[in-house]
Amino acid sequence: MVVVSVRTWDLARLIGVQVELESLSTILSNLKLEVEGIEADSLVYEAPHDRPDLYSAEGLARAISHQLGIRKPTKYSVSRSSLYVDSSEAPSYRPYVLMTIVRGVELDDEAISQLFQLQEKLHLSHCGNRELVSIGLYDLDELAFPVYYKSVDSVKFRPLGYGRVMDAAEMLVETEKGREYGHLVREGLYPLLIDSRGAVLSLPPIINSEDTRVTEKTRNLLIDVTGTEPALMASILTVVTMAAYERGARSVEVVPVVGGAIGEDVVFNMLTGRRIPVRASRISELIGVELSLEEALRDIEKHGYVVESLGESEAIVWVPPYRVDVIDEDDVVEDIAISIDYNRIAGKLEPPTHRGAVHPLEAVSKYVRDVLVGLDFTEVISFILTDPDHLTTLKFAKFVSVKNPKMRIYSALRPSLLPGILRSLSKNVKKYGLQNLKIFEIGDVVDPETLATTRLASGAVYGLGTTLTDGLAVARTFLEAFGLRPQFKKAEGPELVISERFVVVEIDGVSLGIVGEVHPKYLKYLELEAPVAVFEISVSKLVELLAQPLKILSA
Amino acid sequence: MEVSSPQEIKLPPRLYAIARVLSQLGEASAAEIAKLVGRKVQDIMRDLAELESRGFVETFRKTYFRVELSELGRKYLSGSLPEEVIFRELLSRGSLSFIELKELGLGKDEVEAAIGVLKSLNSIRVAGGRISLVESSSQRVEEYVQRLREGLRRYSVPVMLTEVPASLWEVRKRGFITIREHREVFARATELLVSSSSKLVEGEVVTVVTPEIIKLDSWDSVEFKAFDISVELPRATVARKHFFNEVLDYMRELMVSMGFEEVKGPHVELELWNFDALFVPQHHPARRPTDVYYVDRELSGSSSVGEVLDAVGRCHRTFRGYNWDPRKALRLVLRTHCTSVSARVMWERGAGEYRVFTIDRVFRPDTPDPTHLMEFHQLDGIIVGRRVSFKDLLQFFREFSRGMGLGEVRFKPAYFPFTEPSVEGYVKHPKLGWIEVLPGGMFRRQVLEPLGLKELNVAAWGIGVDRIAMILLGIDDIRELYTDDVKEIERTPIPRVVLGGSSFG
Repeated sequence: MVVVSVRTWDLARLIGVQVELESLSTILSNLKLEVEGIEADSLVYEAPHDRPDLYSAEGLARAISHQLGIRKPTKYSVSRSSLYVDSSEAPSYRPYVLMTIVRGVELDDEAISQLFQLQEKLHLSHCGNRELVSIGLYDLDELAFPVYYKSVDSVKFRPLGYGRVMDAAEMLVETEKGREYGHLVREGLYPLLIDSRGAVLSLPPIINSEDTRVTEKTRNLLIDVTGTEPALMASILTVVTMAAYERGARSVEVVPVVGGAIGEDVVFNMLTGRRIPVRASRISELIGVELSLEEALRDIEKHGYVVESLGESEAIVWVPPYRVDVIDEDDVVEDIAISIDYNRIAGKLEPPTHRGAVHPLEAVSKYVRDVLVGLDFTEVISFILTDPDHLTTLKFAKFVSVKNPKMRIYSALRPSLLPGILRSLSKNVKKYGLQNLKIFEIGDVVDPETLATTRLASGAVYGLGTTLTDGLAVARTFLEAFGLRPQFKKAEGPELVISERFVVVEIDGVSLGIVGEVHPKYLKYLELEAPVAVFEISVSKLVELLAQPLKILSA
Repeated sequence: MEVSSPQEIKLPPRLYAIARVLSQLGEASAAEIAKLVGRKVQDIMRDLAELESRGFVETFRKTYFRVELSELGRKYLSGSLPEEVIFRELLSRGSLSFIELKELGLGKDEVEAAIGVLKSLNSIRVAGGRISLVESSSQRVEEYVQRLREGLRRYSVPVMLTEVPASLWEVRKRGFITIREHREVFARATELLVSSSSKLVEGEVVTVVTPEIIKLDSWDSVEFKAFDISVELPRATVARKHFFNEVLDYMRELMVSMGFEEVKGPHVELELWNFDALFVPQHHPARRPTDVYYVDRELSGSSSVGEVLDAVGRCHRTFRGYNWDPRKALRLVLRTHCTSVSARVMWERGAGEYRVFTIDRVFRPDTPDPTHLMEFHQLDGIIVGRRVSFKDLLQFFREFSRGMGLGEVRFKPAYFPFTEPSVEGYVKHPKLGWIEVLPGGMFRRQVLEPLGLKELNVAAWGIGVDRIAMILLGIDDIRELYTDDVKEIERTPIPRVVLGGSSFG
């Protein structure tokens, strides 16, 4: 979601009539916009990622005018400019450039700030923070064509918003944009847009030149995009061009690209708009409502489309160039569904063809829960993301971590439920001064070897006189409730337990879990004053065992 | 008769005390007995019934009349009676007109009654609208007044009578006295009690039923100490399932009842399943490190995703028009949504007619606060089939909301990179107003075709379960859903909807 701010008087000026914002709530909702706030003369809203055409007042006004029906969608005439850009020496790591010219615009402060807002929002969202695409706007009349997009070993110009001429090294250190985006250019291979007289347009994707900046006097705009993704560049350039066009422009020209890896066709084709066949059968199949094509398309102009031909079973719909979200027929069908109103689409949900079922892991977990609650254990819950320091203190050395944690205490993926159980035990015993406590958790852990999600059931018995036997009795009773005969085998235990008080739980030679008595040194760390017996049983393995054919137990 | 030894008859302490009193007095009222055994009357009524059923006493009722001076009676007794006042006036004035009579400051009823009495004593006569005295009647009047005064004085303290003479009823008519009828229970000792009084033994007061009481049938010879319910009751400690898991299990049941089969998928996931297969472009903001947890491991060994990887990549290049990078698709993340599971299931099962769901944990970089957690739950589901439509999705949402007790659903257009059309369903919360809880849509063909689903429609959703659980449980802070505090777990009630009620109100 992108947060956009527009002035209501600018909006009214663009729409051509004064409209009450309150009366627009359905229209804004149909455009998938969420109003964040209306204050004095500004409207702040969230726009969805797929509608960059709504990231500025120009596009919003256009969409509202169509929705209100006060303006019919029109096709735009686009021509190739006689001016051109030469990209034969473009840097190989950022090889593409595309440009358009929008003639006859009338700009004031607000119009300029809307275009810059659009540019910035696009940079942050679609342009991958300028890594994939960067956008520049210039006063065409300050430039001498052809312009060149080329790789240079040094640059020298006055960066936008600074009073003096700098070289590349200075710009990367001293300007804010330089520090932020400097990593996107290579030293000695600086991408530069420069005109025939040597006036610099910009050092993309970092900063523009002060000398070619857009002002209120600008009547003819040159818009460029440079980057690594031609199709993305073309759609970004289309969105910006069409927004600028709304500022009273007379014509749009595409600047031919000479000597580059791609030509200007990609943007030329996009700016002329596309035609999509929309089938009546697809409308009824996808929405689930029977409609004639004519009924379905009755309000489609409100979404900016133009119906070019209407047949019995298929219509050809012209998609306006700025609707870069439209990929195929189904996108048009969504707009049809929106014009029907989702709340009016109702009917019976078809009955299922199969019976439903709980996953065996959850079915078994539920019974494990029942048995453990019956054994007087209270169920606790904790997070899968946990504190790596707590894990390592309890000698759980192997676990998976996240690379980009927000908080260190939630940066490790638990490999066992026991560290969490012991922490919860300690917390409750201290908080309520309990003499005895039995708790358990059934939850998923991430196996540090296989990275698989594994379901475990673990518990702890706390209180004076607690021994391994208390844990063993629970494990035995619990498994017998599932018709299994556990065998307990002595084994080398983890450091967490007293090595003489540790067993592995097996069923027919398959290890299912462990039971042990926590070593006093860890009880001390947990600030517990009485012994603790713990158990941890793999529910995932239990489910596998239970899936096997029933064996007759020998007496 | 439950007698522990032929020589003694053991009675509970209260019964024993009553039996002792009656064997001495022979007969007494319940009030008297109660006083003597130090109890309230209402407390011994059951004991008397018990003794009667065992043949030791007979109870019967007596009717009493309680006669007492009224306020009016007391006033006249200390001053003059109306008869006296009238008579005195007649003595001094000879005769009185009815108007003069009225001016004596007596009530109208009183004047009439007094005139009636004086007439019956033949001490006055009425003629020509005036009342005059009959000669030599003073003595009759004085005697009468004296008798009445003495009579009234007897009732200046209450007197209990078994019968009320007619004269008293007359006096009551004038309001000088009150007569109230009382019925009282009496008990008298029976022959059995008299003959066996030497064998009576006092039993004990017990607070706990002992094995002996059961074994020796001695429940009738002990008294169970009355329980005082006004004292603060202790709480029983209870081992319970965690309330959040109860809600999750209820959701499972609801989904199963609608014909859905539950599936599972891993928490550590390939970006392929979390993003690429869902047609989320590699440069989409949802894939930035501020929005996804990356895992410090790499995919080990050979992956079995080769075929789908190529198909997904082709789809991104064709329809999104960028240089899709397979290496990015093979990075490991913590899944940001359970829609990854839906993608895996579609790839595994392919074409067909099926409904599956999963309820599980997902992860997004966040700092815990009342409305955010880095780890939470989603309920993702899909309906796959040839004739599945957006209408079915909306209808599913309506039925799910009803099942969760959330009421009516309103829909608004929404955006998700993998669905078209896309929708957000809102339910009305009594405090928060319309809140978003039901996001979904129809999977795009760019999602379905690389997974091998052709000419099929799939309704899909990913519902944030925590928010619904918070509504159901009346919890305002999401962190409380994940509590490990045993007292909170003990005391949190089971949500109404799980018990067949509604979630709101």
